[in-house]
Amino acid sequence: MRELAGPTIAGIPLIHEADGLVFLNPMLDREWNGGPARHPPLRIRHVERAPSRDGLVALVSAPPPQGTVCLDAAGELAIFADVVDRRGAPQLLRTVRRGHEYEIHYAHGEAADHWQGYWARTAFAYALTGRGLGVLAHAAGVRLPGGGVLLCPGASGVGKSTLAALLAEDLGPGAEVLSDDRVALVEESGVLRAYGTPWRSAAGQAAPGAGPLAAICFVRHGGPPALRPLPTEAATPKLLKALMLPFWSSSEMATLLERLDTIVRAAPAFEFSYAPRPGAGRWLADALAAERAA
Amino acid sequence: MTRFARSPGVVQRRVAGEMVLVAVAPPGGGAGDFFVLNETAAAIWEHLDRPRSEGEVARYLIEKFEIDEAEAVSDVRTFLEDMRRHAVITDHGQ
Repeated sequence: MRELAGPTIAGIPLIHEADGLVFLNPMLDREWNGGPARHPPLRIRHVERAPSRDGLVALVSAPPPQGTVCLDAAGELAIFADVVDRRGAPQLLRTVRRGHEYEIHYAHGEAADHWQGYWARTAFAYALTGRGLGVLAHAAGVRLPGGGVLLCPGASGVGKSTLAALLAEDLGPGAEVLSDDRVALVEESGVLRAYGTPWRSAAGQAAPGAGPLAAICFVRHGGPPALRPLPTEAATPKLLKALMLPFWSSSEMATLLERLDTIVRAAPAFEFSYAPRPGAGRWLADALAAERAA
Repeated sequence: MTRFARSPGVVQRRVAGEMVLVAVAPPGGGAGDFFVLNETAAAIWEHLDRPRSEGEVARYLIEKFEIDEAEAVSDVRTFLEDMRRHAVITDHGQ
């Protein structure tokens, strides 16, 4: 087994391991240097082995590459990704030790080159909930000049990256894009902190910074800039949609809902509609500051 | 008279005052479905702390919200149908 140290994300050092036929791609380290480690490492083992469904109970299926989420005989998470490599062969994520060690089985070792980043993100998300630390959000996170982080959750295409880029452009060095696609939300001593991750959109930015969660903004395209407070009953389901939910485990889900309560109480939620033009980022930062002052 | 009960595979919690339900596997195949309940639905869910009939739940709503019987029965029926479809509520026999 060869070993490659990955970045440290939200205090968790990633360590990739591989057998002889799997090439470990250091792409996660290339532009992203991680941050200080405070937690035990997360080991992700990439193995060339025919993925097997034996002993797995299917829970729910999603379109590729997510595949079928399953439970193994020990009641632990497994994901059978039906058709993902170039030869149409499946891949499998198995839990070795919940929150700490996962194994990826590739029918063809070379598929690991392309897919290991995806599996690292998936394993990291499940390690966060598996350890009860927090949750990975499909969201952009931008640290604003005051230090607080603005979280913009949403599916691909809603304009997370555009808004993150506008905020960075308009606010200059006082703002930092932690990621325009995936943000780790971790509760530390009762404070909800948003951490940057290396997982960003194709043209996006990412940084290993962090800050307390200050506000949540759901983005809508169109019209002059407008910021509308969202009541909890509207914000909660929107936020839930953007979180990697551990729906195979009652205990993990109960912990996650506790975190969600902290998130929703920690940060006011808004809907921000805007046309993507220079100045929209500045407008939003000023409007959020005015809301805070009020 | 059919009685209804909460499915065991549902995790519930009040999140900033709102009742959130998440279907957790197993059973039912609805793993990952989640629901943020309005005030009426949350009252129905909370009253199903043990198996109850549609009529029992409707009477509870009439008392709690001072609404008329037709409205209460309609609310309960809609909620039960919806939640049974998602395997969040199950039939509990006679």
